[in-house]
Amino acid sequence: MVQQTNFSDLPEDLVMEIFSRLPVKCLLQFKCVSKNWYVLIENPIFIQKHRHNTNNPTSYFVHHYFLDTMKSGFTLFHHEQNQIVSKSHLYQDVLNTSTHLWEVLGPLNGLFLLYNDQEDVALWNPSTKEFNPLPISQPLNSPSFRLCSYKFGFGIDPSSGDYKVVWMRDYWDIYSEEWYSPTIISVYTLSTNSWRNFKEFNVSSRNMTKSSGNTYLNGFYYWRACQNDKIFAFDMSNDKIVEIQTPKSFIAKQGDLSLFNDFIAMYIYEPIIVGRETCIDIWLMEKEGYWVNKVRTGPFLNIKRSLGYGNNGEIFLEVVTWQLDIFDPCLKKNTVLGHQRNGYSLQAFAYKESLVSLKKGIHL
Amino acid sequence: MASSSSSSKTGLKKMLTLKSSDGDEFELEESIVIQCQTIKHMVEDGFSLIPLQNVDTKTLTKIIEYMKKHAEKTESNKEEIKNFNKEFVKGSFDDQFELVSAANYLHINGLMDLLCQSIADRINNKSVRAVREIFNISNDYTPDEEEKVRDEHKWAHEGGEFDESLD
Repeated sequence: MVQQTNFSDLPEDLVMEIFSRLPVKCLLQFKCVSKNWYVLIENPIFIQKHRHNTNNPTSYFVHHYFLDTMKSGFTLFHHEQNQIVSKSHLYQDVLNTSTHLWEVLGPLNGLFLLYNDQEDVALWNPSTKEFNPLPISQPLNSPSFRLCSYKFGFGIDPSSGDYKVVWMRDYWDIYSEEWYSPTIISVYTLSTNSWRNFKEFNVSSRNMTKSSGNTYLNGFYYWRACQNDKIFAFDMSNDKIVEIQTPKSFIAKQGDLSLFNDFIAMYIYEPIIVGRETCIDIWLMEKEGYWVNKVRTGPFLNIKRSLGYGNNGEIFLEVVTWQLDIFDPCLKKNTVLGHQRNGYSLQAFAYKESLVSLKKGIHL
Repeated sequence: MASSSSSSKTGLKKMLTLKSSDGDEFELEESIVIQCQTIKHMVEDGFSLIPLQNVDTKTLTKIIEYMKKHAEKTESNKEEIKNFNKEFVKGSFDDQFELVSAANYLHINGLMDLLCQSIADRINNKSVRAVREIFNISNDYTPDEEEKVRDEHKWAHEGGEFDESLD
């Protein structure tokens, strides 16, 4: 006699396999089906599996600034079989916040870090619509200090699986008319929802540049030095910063730091002049301080600037006709992402839906 | 099917016997059966009669149909295979669960992928009520608890119609 197989008889890994192919919205709704389903959908192992599922499609996330309303917003482009199929708009109003956060860092596991120069910081998961303003951190209270330079980083402490935000701040003293030393470093930990502050004398945020995409990799968050002569790596497990040398040929060129197939990568090019051809060299850091010129892409004609890089080497380019293109260096192919109408594109990201919750904050 | 293809090798084809949980035996060419990782390992260990205690005759027949078709896969019949796959996943949910758990046990990766995707596609956008019915799941929330869970992600329950059908 054969017994009929019920869904509840299926082994849990098989149910996870099926569920990992569902979109986030559907899974959040299915939490209501039963307690078992709730537990499974919240299970960090499942959340990770869902994120890694190759059927979970890569979308493109474009961050715009609208000149008429002076607000920023996001456009999500879906991608199916090399066709950009549909787009949906997300304005910052959806975040339910009166403070405007126009700087965007990420995405890391589907999460973005948003901030502004008023010292407002928040974490955001656009797939689950979770939005989490971080507690206020003002370590220096002297009335003569003005915050004049800051950089953010965002990553995971590999020893605890906890999300961390690192914030480096440099203050200008208006009385003495000089920079206040040291640099103040604040590290936020999601599980405790608190900041820890400490002083750093050897590294300053003034010599770092913000990357347009995610530069967190395997426990370290990376920044490029302004001169391209080195990069900085923040160790998420012990909150220490190390400097890593780069080839001399990077200096005096344009450079962007990004990821490329799980390597830290530098995109190096001559200053872009419209009407002149531009080639972009992709350098990978194969080992600490050991850089290899992986591929030269282009030449591109009529590009204005690059807006970001996907994890597999895609380059987001603004073309002079106000058009946004994705260039795939492996396929050597351009895809038109869209045309900006009344907005100014600030950044573009490759984005995958994610169930990662800002409440739990544990990655594994 | 008339055109049962064979690998270009001439001479004796190595045959294997699969035995279902109902005791029925199926004789198949080794080249077809090695799509299945579990059996492949048993063949490497020298088995030629393979008992499958977890797979009944009905399910095994379907799985053999799948393996035979996919053993014919070439560059030129991609469309045909695609159509075959489409037809293959048309059964009832219960049949699909039966098949997917057998595919999981036998480690037939292509079939696992096909079935998991088709089940997911079929339940995507179903209402909570329809899903409970299809999967024979009893609601173990109290009304208060369910309301609370619903409130966690209110937006996911709004916007657009949910599919109430049970197939």
